[in-house]
Amino acid sequence: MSSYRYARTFEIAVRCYPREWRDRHGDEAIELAELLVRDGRSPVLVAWSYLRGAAREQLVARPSRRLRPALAVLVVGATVIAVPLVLLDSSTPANAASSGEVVAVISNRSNAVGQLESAFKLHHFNIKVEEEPTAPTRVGSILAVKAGPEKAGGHVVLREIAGPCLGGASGCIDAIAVPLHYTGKAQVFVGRLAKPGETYFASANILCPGEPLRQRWNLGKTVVSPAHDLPSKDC
Amino acid sequence: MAVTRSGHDGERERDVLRRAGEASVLILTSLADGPKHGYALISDIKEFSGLQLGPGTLYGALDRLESLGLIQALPAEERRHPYRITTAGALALRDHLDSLERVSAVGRLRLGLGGV
Repeated sequence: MSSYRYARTFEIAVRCYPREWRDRHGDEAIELAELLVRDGRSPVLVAWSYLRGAAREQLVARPSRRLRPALAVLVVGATVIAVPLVLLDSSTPANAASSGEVVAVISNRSNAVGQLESAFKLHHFNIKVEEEPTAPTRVGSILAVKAGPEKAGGHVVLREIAGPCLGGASGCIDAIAVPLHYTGKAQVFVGRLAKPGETYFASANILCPGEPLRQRWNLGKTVVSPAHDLPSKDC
Repeated sequence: MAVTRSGHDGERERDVLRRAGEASVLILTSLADGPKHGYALISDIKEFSGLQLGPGTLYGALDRLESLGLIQALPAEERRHPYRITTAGALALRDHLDSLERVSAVGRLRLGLGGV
């Protein structure tokens, strides 16, 4: 199973730490958790390790109220995080590493290029990441992938993984799976907010939340009166 | 940190890693051949010791070692913070390994495996 599906869970686990710890280690800790899961480590054990660490940190950070926050971290964390993880883990067996793929995930839209470059560099992939102008809902997501001649059985070996767009609509690409031993060249194009006058590299459904026509439609209400009739999915 | 090598009591005081936990020793050993960030540390430790360090344990040990002045955080590379071993850390690791060697030698001798 891809660590991508656990990213949110690890974020919750990291939030159990004191603010000072999160400011210093938070982003790296989430990335580390994702990498470990991709390498085959159990997400349950990774999350549990963070929860135990958070309990220890709470004891250090709040010596005047030692036991309560630490116990709260363990009890709430075990309930909110560990149980769903066990369920997820048992229902979906393979992780990215065991299926022979590395999954590069965008979990932070404002640093999409950095996250992808970091993942590709770590595994020595010759994959370049470039930014291109796009619509607001597709900022920080993958717009296109241009792979070299390397193919496996006639199929392109780089696999795009869909995720939610900004604003909640579906249909964006926020992860890409690369075979562990991929040696070809490729380019991944990531969306940035288009400046006035720029042409979109890739467009989005203009009726989606956050897109221009959605707003105008809501204001005018000339064709369909109730705003809630507008499409909110599959934008 | 004391640097004298005479007497067991002095050595016990000098071996600051005695109570620091196994994770701290593994981290210092990994950093002994150059700076590393979290993921590289965990991968390296698994490779040379076979132990899978939990990420929560890792960060706890890193903070503890840094507060003891045994490692130093280097400027961040994107989201990752590499660490390097300090001179004090290298001395502490050497003292601890010396201590382990003595225990190992006695243990092997008493098991009839031959001492050093």
